[in-house]
Amino acid sequence: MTHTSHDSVDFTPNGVKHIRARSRTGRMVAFAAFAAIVSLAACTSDLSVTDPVNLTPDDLGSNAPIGITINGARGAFQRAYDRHILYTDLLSDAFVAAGTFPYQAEVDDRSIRANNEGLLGDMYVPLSVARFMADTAIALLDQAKGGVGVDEAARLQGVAQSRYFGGYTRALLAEAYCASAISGGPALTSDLRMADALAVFQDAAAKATEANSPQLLAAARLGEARAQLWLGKYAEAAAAAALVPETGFLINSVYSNASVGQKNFVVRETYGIDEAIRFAVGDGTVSFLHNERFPYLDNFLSIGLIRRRPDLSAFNSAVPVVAQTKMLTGDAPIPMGSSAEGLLIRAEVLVRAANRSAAAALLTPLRAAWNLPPVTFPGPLQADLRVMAEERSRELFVTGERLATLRRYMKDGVDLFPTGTGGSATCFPVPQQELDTNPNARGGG
Amino acid sequence: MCSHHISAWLRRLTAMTGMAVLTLASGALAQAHAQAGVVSGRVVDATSQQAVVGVQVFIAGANVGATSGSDGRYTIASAPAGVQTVTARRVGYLPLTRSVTVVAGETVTLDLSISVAPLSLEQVVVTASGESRKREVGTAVAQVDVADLQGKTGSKDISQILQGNATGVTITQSTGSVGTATNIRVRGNTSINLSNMPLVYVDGARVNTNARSLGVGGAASDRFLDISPDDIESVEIVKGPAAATLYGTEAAAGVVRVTTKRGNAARSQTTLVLDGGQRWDANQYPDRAWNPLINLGAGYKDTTYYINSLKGGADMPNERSYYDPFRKGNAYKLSLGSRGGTGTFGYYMGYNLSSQEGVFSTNDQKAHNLRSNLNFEPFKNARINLSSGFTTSNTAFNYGDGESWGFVGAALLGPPMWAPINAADPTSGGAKMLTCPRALEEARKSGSSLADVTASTCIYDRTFQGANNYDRLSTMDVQQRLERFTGSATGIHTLGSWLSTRLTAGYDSYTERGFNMVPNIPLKIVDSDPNRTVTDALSRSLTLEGSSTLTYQLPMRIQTQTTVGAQWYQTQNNVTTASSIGFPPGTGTLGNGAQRDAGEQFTDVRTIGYYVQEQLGWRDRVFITPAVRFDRNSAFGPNLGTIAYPKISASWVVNEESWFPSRAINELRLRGALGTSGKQPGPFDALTVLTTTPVSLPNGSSEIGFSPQSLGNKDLKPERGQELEVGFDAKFLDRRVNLEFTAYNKKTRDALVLRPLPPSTGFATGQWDNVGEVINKGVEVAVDADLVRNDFMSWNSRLTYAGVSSKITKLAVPIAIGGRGLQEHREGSEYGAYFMKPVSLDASGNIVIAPLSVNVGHPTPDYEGSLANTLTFLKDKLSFYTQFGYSGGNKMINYTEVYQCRTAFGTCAARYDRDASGNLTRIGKLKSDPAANFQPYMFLYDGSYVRLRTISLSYVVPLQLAQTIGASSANVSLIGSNFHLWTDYPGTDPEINSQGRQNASARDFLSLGQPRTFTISLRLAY
Repeated sequence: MTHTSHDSVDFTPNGVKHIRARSRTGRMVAFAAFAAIVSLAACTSDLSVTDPVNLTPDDLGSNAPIGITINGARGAFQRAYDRHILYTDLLSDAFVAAGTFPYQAEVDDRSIRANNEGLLGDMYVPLSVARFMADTAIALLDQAKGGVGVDEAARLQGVAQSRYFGGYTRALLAEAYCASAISGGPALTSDLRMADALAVFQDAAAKATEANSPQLLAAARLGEARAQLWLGKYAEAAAAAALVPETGFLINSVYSNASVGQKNFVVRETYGIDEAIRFAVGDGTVSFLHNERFPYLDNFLSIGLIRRRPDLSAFNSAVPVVAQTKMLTGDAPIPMGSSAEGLLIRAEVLVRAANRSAAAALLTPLRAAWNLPPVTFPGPLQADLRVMAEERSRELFVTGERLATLRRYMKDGVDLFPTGTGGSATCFPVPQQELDTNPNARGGG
Repeated sequence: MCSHHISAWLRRLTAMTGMAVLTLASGALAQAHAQAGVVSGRVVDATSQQAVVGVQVFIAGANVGATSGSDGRYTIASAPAGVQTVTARRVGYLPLTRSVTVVAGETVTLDLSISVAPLSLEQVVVTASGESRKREVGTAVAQVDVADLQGKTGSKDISQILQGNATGVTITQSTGSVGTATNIRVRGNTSINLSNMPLVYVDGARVNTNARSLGVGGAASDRFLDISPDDIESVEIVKGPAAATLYGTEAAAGVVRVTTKRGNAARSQTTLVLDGGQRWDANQYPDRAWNPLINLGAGYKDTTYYINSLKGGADMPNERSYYDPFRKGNAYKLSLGSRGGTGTFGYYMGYNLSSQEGVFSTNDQKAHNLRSNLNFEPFKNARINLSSGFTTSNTAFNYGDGESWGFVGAALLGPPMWAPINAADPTSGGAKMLTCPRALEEARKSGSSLADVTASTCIYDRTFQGANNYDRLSTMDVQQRLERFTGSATGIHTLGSWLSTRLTAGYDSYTERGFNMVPNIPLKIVDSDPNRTVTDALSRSLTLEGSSTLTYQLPMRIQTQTTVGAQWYQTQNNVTTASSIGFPPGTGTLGNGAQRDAGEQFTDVRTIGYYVQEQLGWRDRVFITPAVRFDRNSAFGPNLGTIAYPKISASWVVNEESWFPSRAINELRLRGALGTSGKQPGPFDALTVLTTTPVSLPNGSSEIGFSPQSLGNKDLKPERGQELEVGFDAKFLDRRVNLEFTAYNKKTRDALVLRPLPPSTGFATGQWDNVGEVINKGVEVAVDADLVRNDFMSWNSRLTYAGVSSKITKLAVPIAIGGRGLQEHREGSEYGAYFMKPVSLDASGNIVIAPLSVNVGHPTPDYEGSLANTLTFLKDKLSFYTQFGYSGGNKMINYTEVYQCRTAFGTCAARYDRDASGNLTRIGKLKSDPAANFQPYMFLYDGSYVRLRTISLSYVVPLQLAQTIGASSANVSLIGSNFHLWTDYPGTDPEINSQGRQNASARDFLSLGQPRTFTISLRLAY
């Protein structure tokens, strides 16, 4: 058995010194190491990390900069609006699916299930975010009132604009969804949600007056008219629409080519900009599951509102591309409200009152812009509404009005929804995630 | 007087006796010598062919023997003449017995080749607190002998080494392309939302194993694959929380410890490995048919003509080379390693050059690995190990791997290359066949003029828009360049036998630059072409660890070892992305694009932990080890303080008890452990985060706005995994059979779930919360048996089996996975179970779709394992190795078929499946019916398989031949992998997951299957 030098005993004085020296060295090393370990263990303070990536509410401070706040509401609405248009036009007869995503095919086929991932991610979430940002912006702007360096005029303008966005998103939810929830509340039917939108539009009008903004006031009034029309309050609708200038009024959702995310998504998906063409106007030849033909195909082709594009290929290589011509570039704006819409609302109210000639007179200047002769309403109401539907479709093409028009006219016994489909949906169901996570939404409203 | 006389007499007697003894002894010796011979030879390691020092070589019953020296040589003098049995023994190796005929007065040569024994109780294993003997460890230890497996499998990366060779460890590939990511699971799925990849340490430094999406489909790069297998000495896998407690937060999914090679005086050698081979695609692709909306006649079906033409099938005309993107990819490797040292100094230096080509022309990888390891003793009882490795690689990836834009997508979704587009009556020949090369073939067969059917009339470019054609795909450029350094320094000091201190500093850093480029070519798919994206990723990880172990002997043969330790770990990741769209011809850098975009991500995560462990050993055969680790982490919620992870383990070497009947069982060790570990949240999951985005303004400018992203949680804590593990290790039949058995129950509490919030709140991403619970239960069995061992041959067989059940035991709200309600995490169901509506035909042949979704299967296999056999002949000079892998009990979605059957492509051949009478078969009816076809249930299949993973044949070149080139040994191997697949799964490969490292989603979507490879390997030792 061998002994290490530390175990052996050398009784010579020098030997003892050597052993003690070696032992001392070893103990010092061991102690130093142990001290290092303990120090390391004791050092608990350096766990704080800097985060230059994420924006948190703390970064905004107690008075959020109003510019970034107003922009947030605008940006969220921009990202929701174009997607809303694509999907509602797909459910109606304006577009057919020209891509490969099964969830888009479901919409085109009118057989939408609640767990449709596109339904949630491409429409409901953006609209919900836009609504949230609109309401949050108002709260933040109210909080910023009187703050140091706050431009009060800009703040009031921002409040009016955000309130308008708030009303508009509610209206879009009402028009697209069979029922919809806000902030985890109950899922209200379209009518109840539109009543909610109406109240917000009316408040927006008040805010616009306070901000001294004629444009926002006209926009709010137009929104109010739209909501009243949906709710069947025709006199009130006409009265509100009459406050909108008959010419020259236009409010847009704007887009930009500065980045891919800022581009007009309708153009991207119907024209092959940054994305493959997944939405086209149906010409009755090929679609995913049925041969859907846009009812005004020939008329709109003749006036150039839509155009066949044999130079373009749809993503699935089967649907021929008949493209809209209203928006051709990534920075093309999408109208949110216009003088034309005001006239159409007033004309419809007149038609419903059987005042057909007055209604036609209102629409004559709009048709003249297309080199079309004045419209004739043949009567009875259902036939008139069929004519009205085409008028609305032409003037408000690719602005998300089609589904709303078809749903409203079904109440009058006019069914213009595409036939030959696998399902019969006329609105989007509440997404499954909302039902799963929001107990209030399951009961409906 | 008497005493004097007596003394003299005694002296004389002693002398006479001594002389007699000497005489007799001399005579005996002379006689023995005259009847004895000499046995001499060299002992080498059967795998590496390196000399093995310190082997006891003896002739039983003759009491003669010798010990091998540093060159492996031994000499037994005075070996009795005649047929003798020579035995070689050494700790860590299996005993070897050989017969030899000794001729008196002559020397006979007997070279011995001994094999490493499966883990023995004295073998040292690396633990969090340092090194321990296996007998002391209360959990199963999975140790992979990399050198042995390298010789048999010729693996190109560490994932191939581990596949099928560590019980309970599952490896899947994302695609069959070179350089793409793997996914590793240890004992099922630990976490619902967090990564289930184990931690990886290389020589004590924790390393980053990120997989990064390349933005071109399902493919991702994988930093786990950077470690060169030729530099690895061993891999140990710490499997669950019971074993991983002292690794703290993040270790709940297990730990992989890689130890690279070291050198010492006893193992001094230079090794040169030269590998050359090929890989090719041998997969079966699903049938496809043309779009039914173009009427080609009832029941028309094109059975894989397109993919066959893509492969250059036998019936192709000369255009094969033009249209065939498949190739035989070449692969070669050069590996040079040198190790050696003196008594107090050792070194290992290694260089590895590897070049691999994928089966598509756009995929290849070249890599260089340089390693330098030093170990020395600066003074007595102190040791320092320095380890450093540098890797540089350049990988070109396929564009659109695992999605509709790639080669496989084009082949399976695009129109066949012969189909007419404007055909009124294609069968009459009235319309031109507008595509090639089938049109050319048809024309040639019918004798028609080829002039009418030329390349210019072909509309080959009019493939399905989502699928790029061959020309386009060949020009797309997706590359990644890597430079990586991993290093560590470990100092160990022992003070007597009672105090041992270890300090480790580890550093891992890489820069990864990736870019993908769609050049400016005429056939634009979308307006965003051409485009270029560049991604720069910088990652740094720092590990500092220290521990001290105090050993003390107590009465009653109780030994205590008290260990205190601490660890600091920090990792930073910085990713910068820039993209540009729209270049003029001839340009291709970011600055030339018309539209530019940029983004940056940064994360910094820090962990501080300290632990205390107390090991009590009784009679060196019973060990009880309680321990606790305390952690703080920067990702914990601000309301959370320190988390404690306790454990206790026990081990009992039963066979060393006096009462143990050791005849039947040579070794038996019982073990058990109960421990906890954790999984930290993401770096910023506890925060409420807003997204900033540019917003367009009416005046044409852009400004920043914000919108909600995720709702924070101040109380966010780590997931907590608790595991109970019991098992035993046994050896019997003279240690020829080794059996390991483990049963475990692993529960993850406070599982982090991205709790979906009502989208109407505006926070659609959700909120992280600790509301889930997952249980993984399983058994692991490994049997290693020397079935035959004689002079003619030896046969070793290793069978592994791992069964696991992963269930969600707590989750208030189901979580959909992979979109469209295909899979869900749902309380009471298997992890990621498939919830679908079953579809069937009733007695009248009508489609019946169940009204409600039910649990119809799950993606995680219930069982998997391997069977490996090694046969050696000619005294271990020739060896034959096979490895089978098997897996079953899981289901897989054939998402390729989803796209073929449910979209406007209509390339679903099953729709036209008809019987001999021309009637639609059952499957034809189901796949033709739109309502039925809409159900995902129609595309869910059994994912079980048996695969012949490896066959290899190795030959040890005769020493004289090796010496002619100066080598001390030479070994030639022929290695083939992925020889055959037995499965009922109709997709390409049930072991591919195009979802990469996503936890529960298992999907085959236009994926390239694993290729078949063949390699010739030459190993020379000097």
